Amino acid sequence: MPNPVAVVTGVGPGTGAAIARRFSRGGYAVAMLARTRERLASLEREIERARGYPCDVTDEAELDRTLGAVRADLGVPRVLVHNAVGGAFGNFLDIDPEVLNRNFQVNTMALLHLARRLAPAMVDAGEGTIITTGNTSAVRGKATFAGFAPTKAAQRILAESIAREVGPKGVHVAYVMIDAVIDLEWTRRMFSNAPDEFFIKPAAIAEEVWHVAHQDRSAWSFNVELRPFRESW
Amino acid sequence: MAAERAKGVTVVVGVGEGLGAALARRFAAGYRVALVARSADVIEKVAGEIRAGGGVAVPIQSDATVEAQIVAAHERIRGELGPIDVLVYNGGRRPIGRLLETTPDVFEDTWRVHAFGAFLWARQVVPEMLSRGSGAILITGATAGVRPWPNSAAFGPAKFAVRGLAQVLARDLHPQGIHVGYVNVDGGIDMPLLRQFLPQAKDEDLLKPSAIADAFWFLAHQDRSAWTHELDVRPFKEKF
Repeated sequence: MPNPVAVVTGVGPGTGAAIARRFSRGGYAVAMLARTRERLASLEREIERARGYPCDVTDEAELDRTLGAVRADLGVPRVLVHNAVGGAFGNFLDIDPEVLNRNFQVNTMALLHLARRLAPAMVDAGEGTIITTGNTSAVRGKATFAGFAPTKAAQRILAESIAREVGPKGVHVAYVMIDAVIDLEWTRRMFSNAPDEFFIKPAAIAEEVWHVAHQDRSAWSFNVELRPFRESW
Repeated sequence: MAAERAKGVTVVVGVGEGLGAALARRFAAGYRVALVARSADVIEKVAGEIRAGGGVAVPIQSDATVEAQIVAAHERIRGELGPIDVLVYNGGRRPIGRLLETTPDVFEDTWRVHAFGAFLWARQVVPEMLSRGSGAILITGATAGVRPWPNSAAFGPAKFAVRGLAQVLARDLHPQGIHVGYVNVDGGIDMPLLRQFLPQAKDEDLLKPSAIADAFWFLAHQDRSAWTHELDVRPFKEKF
C-alpha cells in the first residue's frame, strides 16, 4: 500500500515542522508547503518521506501547479493541515490597512483555495481530513491585533462552514485553537524571562493534530483548544 | 505520560451499559479501575469482564448525590486500590420535558446527579491530587449544556451548571497541575436504551461509546504544555 499523503502549509521551524515530523512518523508521505526554499530543503533531509514545495499559498496559479506536483510525486492528499499564517501587531489606527488584507489572503482565502482543490477528492474517497491551526484571535479581538484577529475569526467560521458541508460526506474538518505562546527561537527571545512552562511545545501541538486527524468518525471534534496548564484564560 | 500512570487509579462515577462501561473498559487498559453506580448489576458485570481480561476492577455501589456515600466510596477506593489519578464523572439522567411537564423533584434530582455530584466527587479527590501536583478530572457533557432546547427544562440547566463548574475548576486547578476536561457529547450514544427509543437509528447516526472513551483517554494523557479543556465529539453525519 502506498503511504497516505498529508499536505502541511506554513512549514517553518516550529509547529509546521513538528506536524510534518508527526505525520511522517505515522507513515504518511508529507508535502511541506512554505515560501522559504532553504528551510524546506533542510527539513527534507531530516524528515523521512517529506518533500518540500516552495509555494505562496495565496497565489491560485502557484497552488494549482504545486498541488499537481504533489499528486504526481506522492499521490492524492488525504490530509490537509493549513498552518500557514500571516500575523501583525498594531491597533486599527497604527496598522497599514493593507496588512489586514494580506493576512486575510494567507489565513482565510488560502484555506478556501486549498479546500476547494483538495476536498472534492476526499469526498469522492469518502474520507479525508482538513485541519486548520488557529489561536484565540479567532474568538477575541484584542486592541493590538486589529490586523490579524479579524482574519482568524473569518478563518474559523470558514472552517466551520466547510465542516458542515463535507462532514456528512466523510471528510473531517477541525479547528485547533492554540491559546498560548509557541516555544520558538523568536518567542524565547521575546519572552526571555518566561519559564519553560509558559510555552506550548510544537511537538505537543503536532500530537493533538495527529490525534484529531485519526478520531473514529462516530466521535469527531470540530473545535479543539490547547493551552499550557499554567495559562490564565 | 501513560506509563507514568500505568499503575494508577481511575474512578468512573456513573456506570451504565453505555458510555460508563466503555470508559471503565478503556481506562482499565492502564489503570486499576473503580466502577461507581447506584445499582449493582452493571458495575458487577463490567468489573467481572475487566478482571477476566486481566485488569483490576472494583464495583462500588454509591449514590453520587449523597455526600456520606461518596466519602465512604472514596475511602474504600483509596484503601483497596490506592490514591486516585483520574476521576471520570459520568453521572447523569436525561429527563425530557418542558417547564410545565417538569416537576420540582425532577428538576432538583437532575441537577443533583449532574452538577452537585460532580462538585462532591471533585472535593473528595482534589486534595490528594493537589498534594501530588497532578491528576485529571474528566466530566461528560452534552449539547444541552451549550445550547438550550425547549424540552430540556431540567436537563439543560443541570448541564449548564456542571459545565460552569468544569470551567471554574479548570481555571482553579490547571495552574496547580490538575487537568480538568469537559467532553461535550453532541449526539446520541449507541446503547441499548437509546436503540429502544430510536429503533430506526443507523449505526452511523450514533456515537460509539468506545470512541467517546478514546477521547477521554486522550484528554487524560495530553502533554501539560497543551491541555484541552472542552472537547466536542459528534458523529460525522451529525448536524451542528
